[in-house]
Amino acid sequence: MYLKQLFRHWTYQVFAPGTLLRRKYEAFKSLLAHDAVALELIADLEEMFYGKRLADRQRAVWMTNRLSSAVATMAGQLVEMNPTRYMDLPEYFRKIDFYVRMALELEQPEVGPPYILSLEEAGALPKMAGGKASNLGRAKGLDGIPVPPGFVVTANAFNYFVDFNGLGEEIDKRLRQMVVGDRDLLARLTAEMQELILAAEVPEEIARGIRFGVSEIIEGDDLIAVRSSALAEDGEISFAGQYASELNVQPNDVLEAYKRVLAGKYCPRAVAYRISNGLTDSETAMAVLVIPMVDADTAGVLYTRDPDCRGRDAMGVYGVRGLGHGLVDGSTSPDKAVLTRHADPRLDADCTPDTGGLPSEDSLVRLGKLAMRLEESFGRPQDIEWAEDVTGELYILQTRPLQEEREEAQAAKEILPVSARPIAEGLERASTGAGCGTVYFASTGERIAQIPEGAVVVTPSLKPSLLTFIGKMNGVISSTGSRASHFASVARESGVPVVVGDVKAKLEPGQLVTVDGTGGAIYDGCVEAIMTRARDGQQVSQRVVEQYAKVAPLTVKLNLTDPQAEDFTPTGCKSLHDVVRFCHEKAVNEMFSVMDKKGRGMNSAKRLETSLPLVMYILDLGGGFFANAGEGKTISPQDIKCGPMWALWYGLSDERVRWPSRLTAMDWEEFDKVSGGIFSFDSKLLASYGLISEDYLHLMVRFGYHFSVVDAICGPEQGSNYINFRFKGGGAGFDQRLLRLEFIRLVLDRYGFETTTRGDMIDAKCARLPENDIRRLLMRLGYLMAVTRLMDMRMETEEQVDAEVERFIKDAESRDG
Amino acid sequence: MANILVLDDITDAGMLVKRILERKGHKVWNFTEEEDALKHSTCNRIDLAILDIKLKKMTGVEALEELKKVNPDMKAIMLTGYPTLETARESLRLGAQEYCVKPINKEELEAKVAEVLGTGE
Repeated sequence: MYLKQLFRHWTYQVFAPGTLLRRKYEAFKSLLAHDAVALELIADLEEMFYGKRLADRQRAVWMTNRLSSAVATMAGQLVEMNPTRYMDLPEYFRKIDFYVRMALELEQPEVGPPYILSLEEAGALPKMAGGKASNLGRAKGLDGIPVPPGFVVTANAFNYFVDFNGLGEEIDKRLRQMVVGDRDLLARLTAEMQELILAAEVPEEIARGIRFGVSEIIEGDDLIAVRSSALAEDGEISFAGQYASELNVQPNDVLEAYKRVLAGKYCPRAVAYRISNGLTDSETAMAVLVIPMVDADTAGVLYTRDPDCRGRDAMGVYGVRGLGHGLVDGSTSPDKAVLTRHADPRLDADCTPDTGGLPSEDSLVRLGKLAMRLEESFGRPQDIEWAEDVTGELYILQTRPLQEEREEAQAAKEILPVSARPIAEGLERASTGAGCGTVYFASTGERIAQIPEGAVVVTPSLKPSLLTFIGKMNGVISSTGSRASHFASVARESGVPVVVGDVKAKLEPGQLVTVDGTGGAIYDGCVEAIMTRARDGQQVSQRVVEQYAKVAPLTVKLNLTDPQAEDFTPTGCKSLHDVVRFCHEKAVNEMFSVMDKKGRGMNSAKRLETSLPLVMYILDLGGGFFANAGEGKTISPQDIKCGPMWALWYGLSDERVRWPSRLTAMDWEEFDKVSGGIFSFDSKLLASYGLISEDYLHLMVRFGYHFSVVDAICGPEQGSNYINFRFKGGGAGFDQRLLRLEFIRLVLDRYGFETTTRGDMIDAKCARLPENDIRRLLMRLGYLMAVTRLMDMRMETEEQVDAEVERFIKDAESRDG
Repeated sequence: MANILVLDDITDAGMLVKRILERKGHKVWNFTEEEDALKHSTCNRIDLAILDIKLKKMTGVEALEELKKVNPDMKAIMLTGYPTLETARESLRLGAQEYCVKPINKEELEAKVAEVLGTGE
């Protein structure tokens, strides 16, 4: 294949140089088109890899595959442009590409048996039985812990179910479209996946095992509970209340209930929660626990360490009459008892306000003993679900690690400034930490769906439907509910403060308040001392970033920054981004080297004579220079006839912008800090180029570590006119680059451009404007490019951005004058 | 300094690796025949094996399995011009530390070896 390509290349070179040029130009255009695609994908991937945008891992895999194929095309086109010079590039690309595939490979789901495990077996097999069933199985294995009989339908069974019904591809297809912030999309895709599961058939091997299992654990028509036990559930991450459980199921309905629990894996809030915690679909494969229903007289939860009374040196028992469901979904306020943390616990009467919905003191003490044993055996504080049936028999239905509150949330109470005025005090502290925001009443489902970013949500109860939007909340004030709800559990994990108390009459929509979950109070305005503690709680889960730690350096990281450096070679490419950079740089060079040769039907590229510290080559595609421009190797700005180039240059060379030919000592120091001193003025890192015709301009301007591309038509035909502008990169830190980018976005927005930003790249476009408007915009764009050259180095704060925008607009207009 | 065994069916490829690693002070034995490499490993301590995947009679993955039987603590780096996810998965399962794709340059090889031997900076 390669020899054929080489032969064709030489044949054309000798016999048809014009054809070779056309081919080369076409390869160049194709390379540029794929370069644009690749850079967009890199920017999108960067957002995912650095936790700025939450999406399923399948999306990362899918987008990386697209990036890989765009880069493969670029490498292929570069070889097409010059077969001899870049012959080893595809080899290095394939090598990087393979490492990328290795780093992104997802574990193959196990589809083989066992499909059914007894609860006792489940204790030792968390990777098949899931966290909930495995924990309960371990508890059952302990002497004297009363756990009902039960069995587990394994995660392997779920994988086999998916495989048997051919759902794998259908599910992946939807997962890769998902982005957590897009609620409508998430709702539609998850609904489709749930339908797929519900419409599928349970394979006979599994169905038979389930029916047999049910006949073993109940008598006659006794009811059963079918509960989720996903692989990562109830471990380090609680997943409290994320997955559905089916209660009071008739034995005949068990297969339908099984499918409903499987489908619960794809409810929107569970998917959003899983992704936000950096877990993949297969890492959360759904095992299912089946146990008989307990005919509960009272039921509830017990925390072996409850911070509400005596610091954390007491157990808290929360309970209601009948099934404990109303307790954990936050719709009922439970009764509460506090027990001492002894091997033989006692009721702590001072801390126990009401025991109406709780078992007798004797039962509570027995329950306390069981809890202490579980904590001892599991080696850490436990969150235990219990029930007492009508005959006075106690059962342990679930035990999992108690979600430890974040350290920063436990910080000692700070002394408040005198000006802080509490609106309410002495509220129940359901989740500690603090947050400040504007009051938003989320009384209905519709209102919940519209919770704005950073709101303090006021709600009648702590319902699970709030969970989907927990990322948007700075604090929660609920009239009812307790710390024993799923919502509070997840809020603690996410560091969102929650207080409970009927205070909504004291609040007004839009009012700025601080929720102090640690002190159980609400304050008017933002109380800085309290708020400081909440900040860390807003960060994304470390897992989200860690899952991409291997693949990010192989894909989006750019190592080849200086085209003149020794390692600016195929061997030096360490990432797909490097290959993109290499191909683009070399392709542009190839085009210029073509233009340098004379007598091939095209004018050669000329160096622009300018006092600006810019090395710029201009290639005339026809009519871009005045006829009297001459035959020399250089061209002056006065020779340019190209309308859009002339306008842009007018702005870029504005005399008010200082272009030091040598940076001051101060600047160098600042510069070295971010560039590591590898920069030199002779470096081709500074080389820019333009392709021009009478009304067309393609200009790529490089300043150190960032570049701008302007692509525009400016002529009398209004419908053909457009400007596309792209700005990417920078030598300063990511945050400083983002500040400069924000400045550019604000300015371009003012001028009526449509802008989109991704990572440290901004795209702006406008189209179909009259020639004069396009010309004026190009002048301003040129001025903007000059002004922003090293702006990121001095950008420190957001306030600075607004001031700079105002100044820029004023300056640009005075020049137009 | 480590005892390193190199197994590659092409003599020149093995020699290149040998020369690079000897310059780092390692003791390197270079083989092109699987039997010779296995025989050597039965009576000598091997700290690290660098194995090509495409060999004359067996695959590098099979060679890894055999070598591991005699030297369970031996570290291994696979080095291949024909990477597949299957052989990568299998090698890592059998205890290889790294799966590297040719072409590999001096710096990369030195870095990988140092990393695997735990002598990297």
